[in-house]
Amino acid sequence: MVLQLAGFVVPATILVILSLGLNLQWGHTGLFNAGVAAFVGVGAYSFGMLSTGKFASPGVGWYHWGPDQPWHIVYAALAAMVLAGALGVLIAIPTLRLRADYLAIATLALAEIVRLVFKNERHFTGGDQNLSFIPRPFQSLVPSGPYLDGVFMLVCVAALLGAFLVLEYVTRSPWGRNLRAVREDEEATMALGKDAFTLKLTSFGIGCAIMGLAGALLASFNQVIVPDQFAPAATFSAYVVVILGGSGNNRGVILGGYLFYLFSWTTQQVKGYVPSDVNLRLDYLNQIIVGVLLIVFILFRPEGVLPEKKYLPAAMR
Amino acid sequence: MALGMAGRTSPRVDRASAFDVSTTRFVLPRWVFAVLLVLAAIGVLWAIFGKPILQATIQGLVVGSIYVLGASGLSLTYGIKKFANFAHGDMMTVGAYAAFTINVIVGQNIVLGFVFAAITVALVGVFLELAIFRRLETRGPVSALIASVGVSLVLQNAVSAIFKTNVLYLNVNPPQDFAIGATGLSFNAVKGGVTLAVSVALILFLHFMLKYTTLGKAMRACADNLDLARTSGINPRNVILWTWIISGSFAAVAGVLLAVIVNVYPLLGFFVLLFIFAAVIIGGIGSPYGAMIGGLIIGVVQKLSNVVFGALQGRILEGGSEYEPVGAFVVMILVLLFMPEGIMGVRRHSIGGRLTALLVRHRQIEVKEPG
Repeated sequence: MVLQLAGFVVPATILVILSLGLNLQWGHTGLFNAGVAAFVGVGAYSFGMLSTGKFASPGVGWYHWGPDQPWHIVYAALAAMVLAGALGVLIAIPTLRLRADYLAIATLALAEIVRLVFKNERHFTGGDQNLSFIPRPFQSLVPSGPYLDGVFMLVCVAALLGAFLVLEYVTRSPWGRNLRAVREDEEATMALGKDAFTLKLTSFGIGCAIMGLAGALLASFNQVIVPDQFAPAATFSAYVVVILGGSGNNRGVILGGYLFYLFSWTTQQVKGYVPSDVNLRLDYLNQIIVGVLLIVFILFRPEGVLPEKKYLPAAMR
Repeated sequence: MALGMAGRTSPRVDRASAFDVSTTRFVLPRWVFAVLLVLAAIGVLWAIFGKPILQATIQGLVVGSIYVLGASGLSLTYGIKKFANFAHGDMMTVGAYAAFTINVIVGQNIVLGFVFAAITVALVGVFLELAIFRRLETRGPVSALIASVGVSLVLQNAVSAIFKTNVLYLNVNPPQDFAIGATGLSFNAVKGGVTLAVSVALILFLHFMLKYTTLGKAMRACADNLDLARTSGINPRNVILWTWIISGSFAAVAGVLLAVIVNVYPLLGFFVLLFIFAAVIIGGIGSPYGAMIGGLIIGVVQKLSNVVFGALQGRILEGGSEYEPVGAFVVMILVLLFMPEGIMGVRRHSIGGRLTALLVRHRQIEVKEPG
């Protein structure tokens, strides 16, 4: 029971966390990041390498780089966030000054480069051989099996709660209002003396750091990372979540994330009960429905299920 | 004046020569510089790596000519609709599968396959415009971009659901590669020759259409300024539909050509989409002529980096020629950094002007408190 519950709640929560990061970039600031998979991947790989330490088993040709002494899991997760955020800032500096669709194309290209590096640098990331034996939090205290899964579920929900509270606080702060001002009208915001570039850069960096956290949780839950997990196409389910839930509304994104995961989880469950010929096509049908949802929401309800609230600061009410 | 100096278009030179009316300065267009730069790179690499570079250049021109077809179509819709169509690659895939249906399942000649693919994808484009993109006209570029991502998912997975994900082959039997003289280089008459011939023919068609026909002039007018085009009596709706027809059929032909060279699989178009975007960006968004140069450059750079990264394998990089796309993407990112308007695009600021704008923006303006 706990196993099944964790099997649903943990991946759904991870999807919600990374969608919250995307919501800060796209929903609040209007930055189209098409490389979500890359930032999640950087988080996952840096967490995996730092927390398992250097690993070599030359007999079977299995290695990956890491520190000689494995890092503590918390420090590794923090490092994953910092590295993902730093990569985001690095790619954003040249591209943020340009049009929105240039950022999309540049981040999509970055995602492809990052995936190629994960896949091919075997001595560094483990490459095709995958990176395994990634530790979980409280591994030494709790016996493995349902209990450890249950604990992990709590850790995930706590991380979601933390990310949600921080994001809710910062998006209501003057900084968050400035972000929305940049999204609505960048020139007008600059005319009011705000530094739009720095605002966009910080928003992008923080969003990428949250995606890095999601990647670290994903690596820790699966205990193994496969490079093709982070194919560029994986990005777009996060967009469906944000647009379905309501871009610019953190609560909506949480709702959208769980709804969306419920949908893909259901198709996975249905697969057990249908003949194998249909079984194969069900995955594609799932993706077709995702695409149709994206189009239908953009056409008829671009504000999503829970639209963004227009609130005024207390002083102006 | 030396040829190299003559190409500089920095404003300082302009101002200096503004008083000097008698000298007429001959300024080389930027695309000539881009081509010279690529030729120089090929020369340097040839000196280092030898013959494989020349073979890679030939391959690059062939692949590049396919990118040219994809990129000029994408650039046409980009110019008029003002959004990046992420479904363009999947329109190529649909074209390849349409040709597969006629060529293998029905068993007809591949030429019929080309025609059927072009018609199918043109209709897909018209349908998308009528059903989706026309409704999003007033909502800015990113809404349409997201919708096109949705379209891309639908097309890609519909193709997978119908044909499954097996790799399929068209019923084309290309002859053996033949050697070019005693140079040790080889060339394939069908995979290389026909591809180049088809894309040159289509590009010439596009050029004459844009330049001399009423439709082509209307398309350029709409891309330049939609409102102005409307006031001069052009019906943009029809022009946009024709743009989708041309862009779609070009995408289909590119998809089939790619399928002849490689094979048919559902991610065929999605994987080349980034190269096509890179070609469009290097050429300058919305300029079909830029897309032509950009496509060839990207194709050549991709195949050259195959050789270069392959040589680095075992020394620095483990992946070797797996990093083939990286060279093309790096060129794209460099262009975005230093010349975001592209080779054929309109230059909005000179580099000096951009620096001044930056300095002005970051200067702190002191505001005196009243009283």
